Amino acid sequence: MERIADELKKLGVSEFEIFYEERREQPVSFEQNVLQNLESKTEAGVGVRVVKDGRIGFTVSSDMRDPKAIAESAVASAKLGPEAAFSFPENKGFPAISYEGGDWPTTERLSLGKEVVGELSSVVPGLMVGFTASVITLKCRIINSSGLDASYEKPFYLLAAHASGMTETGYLSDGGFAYLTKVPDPQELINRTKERMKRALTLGRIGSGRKRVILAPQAMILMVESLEMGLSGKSVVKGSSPLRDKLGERIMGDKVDIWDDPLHPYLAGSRPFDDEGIPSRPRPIVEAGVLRSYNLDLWSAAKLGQEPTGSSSRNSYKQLPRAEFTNLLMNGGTESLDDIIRSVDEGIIVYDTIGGGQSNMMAGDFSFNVGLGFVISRGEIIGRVKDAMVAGNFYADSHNIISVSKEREPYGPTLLPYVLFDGLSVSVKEQ
Amino acid sequence: MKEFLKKALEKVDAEYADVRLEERLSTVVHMMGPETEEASEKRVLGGSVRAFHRGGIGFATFSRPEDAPRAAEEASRLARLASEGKSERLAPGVPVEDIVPPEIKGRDPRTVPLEEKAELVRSYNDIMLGVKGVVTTNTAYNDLFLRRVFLSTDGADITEERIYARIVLSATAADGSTVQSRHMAFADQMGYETVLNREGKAEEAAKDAVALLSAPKVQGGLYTVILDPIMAGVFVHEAFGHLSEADHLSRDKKMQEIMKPGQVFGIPELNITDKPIPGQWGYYKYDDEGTEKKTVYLVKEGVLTGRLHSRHTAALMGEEPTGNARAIDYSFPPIVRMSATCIEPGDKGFQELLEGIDKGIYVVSALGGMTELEMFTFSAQKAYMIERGEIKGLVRDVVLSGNVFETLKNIEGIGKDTLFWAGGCGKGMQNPLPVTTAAPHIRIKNVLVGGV
Repeated sequence: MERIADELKKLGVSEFEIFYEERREQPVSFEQNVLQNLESKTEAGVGVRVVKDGRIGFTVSSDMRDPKAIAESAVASAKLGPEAAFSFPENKGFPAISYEGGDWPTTERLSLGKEVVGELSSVVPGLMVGFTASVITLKCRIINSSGLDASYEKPFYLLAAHASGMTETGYLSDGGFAYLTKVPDPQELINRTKERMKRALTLGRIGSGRKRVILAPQAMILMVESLEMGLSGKSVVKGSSPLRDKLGERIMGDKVDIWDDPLHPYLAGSRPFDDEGIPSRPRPIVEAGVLRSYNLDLWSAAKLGQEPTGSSSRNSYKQLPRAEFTNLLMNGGTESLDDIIRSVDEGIIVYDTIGGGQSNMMAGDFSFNVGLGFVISRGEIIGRVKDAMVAGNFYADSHNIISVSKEREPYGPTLLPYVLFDGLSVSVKEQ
Repeated sequence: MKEFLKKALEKVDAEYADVRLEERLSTVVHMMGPETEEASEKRVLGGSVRAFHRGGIGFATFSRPEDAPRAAEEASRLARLASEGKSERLAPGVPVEDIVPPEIKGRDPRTVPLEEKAELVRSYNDIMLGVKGVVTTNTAYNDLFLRRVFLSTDGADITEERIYARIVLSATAADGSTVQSRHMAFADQMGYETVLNREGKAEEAAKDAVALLSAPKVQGGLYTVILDPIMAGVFVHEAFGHLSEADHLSRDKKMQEIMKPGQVFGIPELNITDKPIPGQWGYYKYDDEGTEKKTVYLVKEGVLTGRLHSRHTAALMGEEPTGNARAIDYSFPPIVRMSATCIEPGDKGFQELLEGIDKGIYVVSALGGMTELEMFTFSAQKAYMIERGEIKGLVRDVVLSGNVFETLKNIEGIGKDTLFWAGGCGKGMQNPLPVTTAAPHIRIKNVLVGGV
């Protein structure tokens, strides 16, 4: 990396940033109840940004043996690149994070896979189980022309389990996934999945109309995705976000409290600094429905005249950074999920959604087919709901949130409660 | 570089292995609103070894060709570890030796200067930004030159090159808190001409986004719908194509029963294929395990006749490989995927399809689509109400959903037109993979539309 920096200086570049990432991954995967693949993947490379004649150049390379070629390519790209609206940050010190980490050897993951396949496939004869357990090590280093030279290494773990197949109530598909910096304990995931699948073997009926709807954490992900689009500094600057000019204003109902926490003890998005070198810090996004912060990278922060929020992420060294959530947490309420279910006279609870990401998510709209959900009648779950669509708008409908569960569940790098909405539009196909 | 790959195959300690080395040279010019986001050229090189031993698959990547032998040892070790208790086979490979040049007909995008590509993007972008009501845009040009070298212990030695070019035109209009977008993309493997002369489309995208702001939301309910060729293509790809991928079937007896050849899936006019169409976005001559892509009739005259296979699924089901084992890049093992999935044209004109629809919806262009086996959900970019056989006002937020098998049987008319569409398909962690759909307008009765 230093050699790339030297080559850049030789080319007269005074502002630059070199981002290095090395990712090692060892997934074990079962498909259709059978151990399928064992993989060993390594990917490493650099993304280089330079400022030349007031414009930004960008290049990537997986081969660092020719630093001169990398430097030249970055400089050449600046000719037509975007105008440089920001400067690269200095080193201001970083919070310490200690990852729990831990050993999760291949043999252990193999036997865990067999156990999970056995447990989930036995709920209904003929169910097919997929399972992935992966150990990932990420090394990241950033150096820039403002004197920053920072690096970290973090272990994280992926556990995904999924069962599907034909049952007497139609195709059933359910599971969960955890994305943590500690070795996942699959027991809760297995128990919850088994319980839901058993319940799904009875059908329940409900008519179309405005209903009370509980969205489980895996369905609440849709709200997180909508919010992430609206909070993106880029969308705010470009004017496509419905949240532009809404800082400090009420954008959601007062039961909504949302945090971004890049220092969370075990969710996988934790890190000491973001992918542009800004120190991590937890911050409120929405407090009692009031918008407190956008997700800002260097570019959008400079454009809006605000401080960057440590939200910059690159899915890989091959991509330019963009502002995203790190670990997204929604505060839980005071009631238990069981109490919330008991409070519903007629409604549904939705776990798995199909096609939720297709509506106008930027505007907060959602419209999805219920993959796995249940009819609630007089406070009891009576059976699976089929052929139903639920539609609404998270910004508008969040004002109709009746209660938020105290239980929260991790789903990917999020920790979300169950949320009961009043009066969501439910369309059911009559048989 | 090939000598490293050959050396890797010598290091293999498993029944079978193949090695892929890929070089990717890509160009991106991307504008959002008035600003350029990126104008760059990138080169990425990498490879992987996949070993197969009695049904266990070991897979290891490498970034420098000289590391290929070490990856071969690692993949072999993992394949043996994964083979415990298994005794499966791969369908035999063909020892093909071939060099496949790009399918390109027109100008090679690599010969077009970056300045010219940037100017093209700017011109489309200006058109969209010039339409009143448009607040931002997403205009992107991409090209990719791909060279893939494939060697296997079966004796295959294939070098295949492909050149992709694509232009994405997307306009966003806003009015208060209402935000609407319209996206279009034009892409294939025929040359730079694909991205040219799209000024009319840029204007259409921008005007659609603005018009959608004042369009009412659709009223939910059951409707007879006409899908335009893009939506019909997405429907056949998502709802039916994925069901035809044999990796979902090979060990699942219940699914095999449902997808049993000979079952009636639709009207006699319904023919569904997956085939190699040279020059189209989803085209390749050989798949990522060295099998030449074959034309497969999935449905012939309404009856289920075939499915898509890798060498592994073909062996498990006692059928022939179809050349559908694909990976998005060298860092993933190939899995069963589609190439160009087509509803073959029928005999109905557009007016004939409209006839007799008292209240229906004409659905134009897909925003997205997703299936969970028998259940599907698709959203439209825009749609029009149909009243008494005539196209009426624009509506928005049209999301269609239903059961695939019922919906296929509910297809009641197949148009005589056809249109290719370039899409990006996601499966597992592998997204987006270039695929093509081709379809005419189709008419389907009793479709559930979600809405207010």
